[in-house]
Amino acid sequence: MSVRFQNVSKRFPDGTLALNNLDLEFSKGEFVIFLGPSGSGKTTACRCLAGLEEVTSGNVLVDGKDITPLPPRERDMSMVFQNYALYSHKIVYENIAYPLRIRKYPKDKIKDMVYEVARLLQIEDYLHRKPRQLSGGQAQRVAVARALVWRPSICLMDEPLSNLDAILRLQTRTELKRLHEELKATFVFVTHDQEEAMTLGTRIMVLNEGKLIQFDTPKKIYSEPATRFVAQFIGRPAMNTLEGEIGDGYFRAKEFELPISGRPTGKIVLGIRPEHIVLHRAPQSGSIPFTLDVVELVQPDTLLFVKKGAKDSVAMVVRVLEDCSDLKPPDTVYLQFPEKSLHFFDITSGERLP
Amino acid sequence: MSKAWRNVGMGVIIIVIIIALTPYIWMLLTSLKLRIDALASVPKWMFPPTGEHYPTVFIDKGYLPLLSNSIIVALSSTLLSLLVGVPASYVFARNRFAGKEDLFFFFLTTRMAPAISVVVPMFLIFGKLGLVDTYYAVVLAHSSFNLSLVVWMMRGFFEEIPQEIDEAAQMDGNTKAGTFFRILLPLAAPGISATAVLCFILSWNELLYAMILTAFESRTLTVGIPGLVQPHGTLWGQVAAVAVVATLPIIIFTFFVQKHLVRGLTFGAIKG
Repeated sequence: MSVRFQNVSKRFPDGTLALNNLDLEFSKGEFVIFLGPSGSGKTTACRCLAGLEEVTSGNVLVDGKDITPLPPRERDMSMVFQNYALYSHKIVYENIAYPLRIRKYPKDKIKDMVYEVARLLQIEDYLHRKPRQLSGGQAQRVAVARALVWRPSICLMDEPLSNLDAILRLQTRTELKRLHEELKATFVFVTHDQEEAMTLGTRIMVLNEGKLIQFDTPKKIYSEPATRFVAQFIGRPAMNTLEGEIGDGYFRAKEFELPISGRPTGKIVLGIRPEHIVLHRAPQSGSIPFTLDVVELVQPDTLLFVKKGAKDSVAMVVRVLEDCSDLKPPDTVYLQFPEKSLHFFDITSGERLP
Repeated sequence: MSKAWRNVGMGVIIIVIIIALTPYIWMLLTSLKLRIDALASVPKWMFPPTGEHYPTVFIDKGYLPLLSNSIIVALSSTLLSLLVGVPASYVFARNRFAGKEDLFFFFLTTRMAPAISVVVPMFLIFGKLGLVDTYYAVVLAHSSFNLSLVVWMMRGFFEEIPQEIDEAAQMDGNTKAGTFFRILLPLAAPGISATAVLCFILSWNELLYAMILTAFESRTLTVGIPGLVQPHGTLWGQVAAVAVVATLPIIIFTFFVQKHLVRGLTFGAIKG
């Protein structure tokens, strides 16, 4: 089975272009993440797939069949909503059984299926409660159970974890991963949280302003971001980027100078992830001195915010695992930028340069 | 809260209850008084009770059919207004269409004209249709003002229900109509009961339309009461007897839906 967005665009009546010529394909069993900042069109993409939103142009295909004109109920998909959208007048059991009842499953089959999914999600004890008697985490599980009980070919989740507190979010995240592996179902998961995206997804679609920026595995998105936007959106803290110029074997940005070989001259953006910068306390060959500005301890790592010079705006953040309790601002540290960890982006389009 | 304040509060509540119930109790007592006791210039609290007014007015004077007319008219008008108004309000709450707010406001404007200016044309129209002195005329007339009430109240209730509920219902396999009937209506039940009570009361109490549009066959209780005010004096005992009976359906109706009513009325008031 495969799902394909074929040149899908969506313009809202107020004129906003929420999706701009979206084109991508993924296959059965994947855990696909729609990732982007707010207003990027990730939720709209999910709703277009569900049939809750009509596309303005383009087609949505499942197994080569055009499902664009089909209403949600004929698309063989289910959805988990951010606010759970449980039916407050029905008990939990009836909430979960509801999609089965609508689809006219026999009664004893319904019971078996509800209990099976309730066991899977560990909610057997609440089956006879009303939704308002549930905690956020419990309500979330019920919503997931309702979406999975009838084994739809695709389960869509629109920011399902964002109403949960931090600890519960981590727990539920792990459980979703486990569920996906157990059920071998196709999940589409919308989020603005890059950490959720990186941990859950088999592939991540990064969207910005309605445009598909990159659709790749988490590893590739991290190691080879397609644009400067992706590079800075993925990773905490964000990738360091410097706008500068290459000439006579050097990259120069104000007071910062780094030998670079084999690149054409001209303006460019250089990027390096905080965790790829090598820290030294004494000068080494090829190291560049920086002044320490702020030290932040984010156990077990340490974040070092450094500046090139007091009056210079070149600032970077370095993430190291080693103990840095001996360092205090305004100490001088010596940083090495391994050439294999450098990223280069076009200064105008922001696209990755090979 | 200190005990003193609680006592003050209780005192205020008691005073309010007395003020609210005195006319009702007065009416109840008057319906049980002989004419001479009812007219006594120093009101009598102790008197030999009589039950004669009830059979006199309802059986001898034939007011029993008026009671059933009132029930039929109020129930039918409530039902008709809900039948048309609830789906309409759902559309107002959920759909986008050109001129929506104007159309919505139009429903309100139907209540702005004084009833008297509407009732004469209505009488002429129903006359041409041969509907004067039928249930249809009164039910339609009452629905004309109840409908705007339903649309205005129910839109708020539907807007309280998150849109995601509709969407979840559709993802679960419902059609749009199925979503409305199977999920939205049960969720809006408190609002519907509150609205139904108000519609029922408005229709039940209505006098002007009922008086002009009926003559004999379909007269309602409110129309019947002035018949007891006669040239040689008002039959207070019988008026009170009719009034007591007239309040019963509302008390019973409200009693049955009061659980929903309180929830319904506050639900709309807080967030609407």
